[in-house]
Amino acid sequence: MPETDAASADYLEVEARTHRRTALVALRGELDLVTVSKVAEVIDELRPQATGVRHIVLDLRGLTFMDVPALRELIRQNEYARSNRHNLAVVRGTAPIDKLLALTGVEEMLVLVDDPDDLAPPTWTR
Amino acid sequence: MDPVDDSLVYANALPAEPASVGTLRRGLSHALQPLEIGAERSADIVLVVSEALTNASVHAYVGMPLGPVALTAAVSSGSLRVTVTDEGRGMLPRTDSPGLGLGLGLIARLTDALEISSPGGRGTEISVSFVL
Repeated sequence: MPETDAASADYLEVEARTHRRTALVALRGELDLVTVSKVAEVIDELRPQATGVRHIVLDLRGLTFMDVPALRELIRQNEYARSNRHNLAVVRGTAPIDKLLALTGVEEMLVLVDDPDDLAPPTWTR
Repeated sequence: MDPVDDSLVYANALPAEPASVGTLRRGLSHALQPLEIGAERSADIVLVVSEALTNASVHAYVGMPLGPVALTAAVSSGSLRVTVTDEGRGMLPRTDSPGLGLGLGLIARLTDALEISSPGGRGTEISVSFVL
């Protein structure tokens, strides 16, 4: 059988920037079964609460694809935020991603915003 | 020649592992572009196919050697028919399932027709149709 892409995980870029007690985690590319672990890794590295980060804003606007395994990670991160007593907000993505959140009812579980500036200061540093 | 073969849009088979899901999904997405289906419908098709492929990569070969997952898409009579086939253990319940149980429900909601079969009790075939 033919080989699959050697670098499937490269189809997602995750960039985290912090400003005071808020971290903006911006996703670009495809969030799926293979790439979703990157999100967990980056948020784990932020060590919310332990490092003073109290608010995490997960920005989906740069995603070109998202599936059910990705939804599972959003739910997991939401549960982690509750148990760890930090805040998680999700910036809405493109229309297909909004549709996925609505059809599955996951949008009811999350704090969703249209723009990260609705929640956080406009200037971010790496 | 079979009339379905006349309108074949995409066909590929890869090992049923997670890395194959994106490869097949992107291949189908690229193949759909000349059909000018529309952005929303294309996104639905790609999501449905991705969920079916994900199911195969996660569930099909549990407790047995890894085998293939095949994806075919063809246009016939104004519909796009997409089939995802594996040679795994068939549709068996898993008490240890890592999924949310949302995948099949989502597939059913976004397609115009859905058929799931396990021919001869071996493997699973998911066929979905989209009216174009």
